[in-house]
Amino acid sequence: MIYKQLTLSLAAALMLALPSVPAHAQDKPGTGLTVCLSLDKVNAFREGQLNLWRQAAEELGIKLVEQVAGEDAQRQSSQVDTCIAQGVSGIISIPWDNQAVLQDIERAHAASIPFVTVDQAPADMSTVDAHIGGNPTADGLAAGKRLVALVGDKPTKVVNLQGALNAVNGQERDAGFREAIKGHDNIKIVADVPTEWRPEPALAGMENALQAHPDIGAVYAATDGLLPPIFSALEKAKRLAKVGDPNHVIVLSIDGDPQGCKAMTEGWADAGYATPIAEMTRNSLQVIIDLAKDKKKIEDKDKVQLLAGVEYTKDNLAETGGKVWGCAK
Amino acid sequence: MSLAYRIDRAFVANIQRYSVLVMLVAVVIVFASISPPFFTTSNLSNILLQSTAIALAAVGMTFVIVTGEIDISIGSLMSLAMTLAWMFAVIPGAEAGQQAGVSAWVYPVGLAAGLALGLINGWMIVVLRINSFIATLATMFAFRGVAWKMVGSSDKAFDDSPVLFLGRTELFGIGLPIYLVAIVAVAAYVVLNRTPFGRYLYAIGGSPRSAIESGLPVDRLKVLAFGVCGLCAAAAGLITIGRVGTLQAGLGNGFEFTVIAAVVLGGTSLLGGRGSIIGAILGAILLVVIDNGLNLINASVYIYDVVKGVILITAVLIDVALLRRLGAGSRAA
Repeated sequence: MIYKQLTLSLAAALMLALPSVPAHAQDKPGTGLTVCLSLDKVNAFREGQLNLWRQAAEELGIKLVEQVAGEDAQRQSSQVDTCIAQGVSGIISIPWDNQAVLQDIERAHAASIPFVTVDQAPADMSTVDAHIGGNPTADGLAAGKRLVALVGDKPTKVVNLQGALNAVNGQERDAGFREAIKGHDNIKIVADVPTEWRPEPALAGMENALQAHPDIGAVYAATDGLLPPIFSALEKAKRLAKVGDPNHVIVLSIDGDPQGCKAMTEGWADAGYATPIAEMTRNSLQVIIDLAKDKKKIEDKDKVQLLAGVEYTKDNLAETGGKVWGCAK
Repeated sequence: MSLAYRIDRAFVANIQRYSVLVMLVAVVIVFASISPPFFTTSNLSNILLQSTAIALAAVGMTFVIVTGEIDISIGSLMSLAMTLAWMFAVIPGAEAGQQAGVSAWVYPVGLAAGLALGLINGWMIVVLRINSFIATLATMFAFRGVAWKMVGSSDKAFDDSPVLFLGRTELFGIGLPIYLVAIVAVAAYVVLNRTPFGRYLYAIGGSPRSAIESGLPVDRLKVLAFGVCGLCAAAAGLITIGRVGTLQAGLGNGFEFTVIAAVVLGGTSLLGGRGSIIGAILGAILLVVIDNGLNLINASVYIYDVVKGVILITAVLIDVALLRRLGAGSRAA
């Protein structure tokens, strides 16, 4: 008798519990969607983005298929083809090559799969369903304006450590910075160093620039990943000093990664521009939900979301730190 | 054989042997004449320091190329060896995921890992009978993938750790890596030119069939050559991370082609049987001089690779022309 009662109670409990599982899962807006994430490469910045994508995908109930192209446009195209063949619900790509991705977009659309680019814009923005990125021009402009404010009328020689010149972020961070210092004749870029986002060419370029111009006054780095070689070269040239020291070389950099946050906290760098990658990654998944699940039409004005970086300095870190992804514990 | 012919032949042979030196001197003269800071003691020391990682790896690569093989995995090998070294030497911080520092174990572990990975390359080539280009193409992908899988792609900083010692210490105003390369270069020169091991490597590259018929342990020698190459690449990695101060996921990306370019500029034949340590080191210095000089004159960022490409093709053309002349001379004689 007692066994019968127990069995009945258990069955009743199971019947109550079972419907609650799918209901809970279905509460998530992206349940049932599989999104292909096609990254151009891996580095510290991409790892930060990837972690936030995974976090957002879990919260939204989306399954992610992750691909990394290893800085190879051809490989990225093949990976996109694989995703198309898998019948994913949407593709989010950080293209390695802004021209080559146009063919990827075309093939995805031919299979009725929404295609969203993040971080690196395609050469023709009208082809993509949406683009969500930082605002590299605005970040470069802000860094340039900050330099102008910091140096005033003082003659200042600048080393410009560029990113990859085949990438929109590299080109526009450079262009924005130049635009901001244009007309300020006291500020002169004495060395442009193409780094391909890598620290080794940045180190050699900094060392060479310091040979030709030991009185360098400022360094502008297109990414925080170049900060360790900057400090290494300055140390070797006996020019490494904290903000406020008369021997200090102004350091400005973009990304807001853990190295940028550390350099700011310790007083080695003057200002950084943190790319809002949490917003960027979450918004890209939301666009796929809107397109693939809710069949919403993205208005032209919403197709391109350019999120300017958050300027952070040692002085405002208490207020801005929460928006700097590299400062997150 | 006339005296004039013999003098001409000796002259051509010397030019062929030292064509990279001639080219280096020409490039130095050009940059020295257009950029005053170029030809200063501190900049020349700077150039030597910047050349060290490439030169060291080029020394190792020469061992492989003189046998008629090639190793295009060294950039990834360097990355994996440094990753393994970091994993072994990292001192955990108080909180999970933090690091308190990196110990000096990074040196022996890094070198051992480089040697082991080089030997794996050699083993694949001689035991599995896979073409060296294909085998090391495979390990080029695999080594980097394993490195990423093991520690992810976040940057590893080396603040005030012993890792910086090799890259940043100076002795009598000269960077420690320069001494290291000098010692390794002398040792490698002696090994390649004055020991049976070195002579056998040239013999294998010159005529693999003759080497086998002569009873040389060809397979074992090739595996050792790849081991030396891996060891040198790991040493180059230790210099690089020590100088840069960080280990990034992209360490060594494209490094293999710079190193092969240095070796080829130095007069080493990709077909094997011919090559020199001094030439490889001069080739490495030449590549760095080009970057340095272009940096100093703030040249357009788009022309760096064009200039290197033109110089590489010029060096190869000169080498081929001189060899033809020597060959024609031999036949005529």
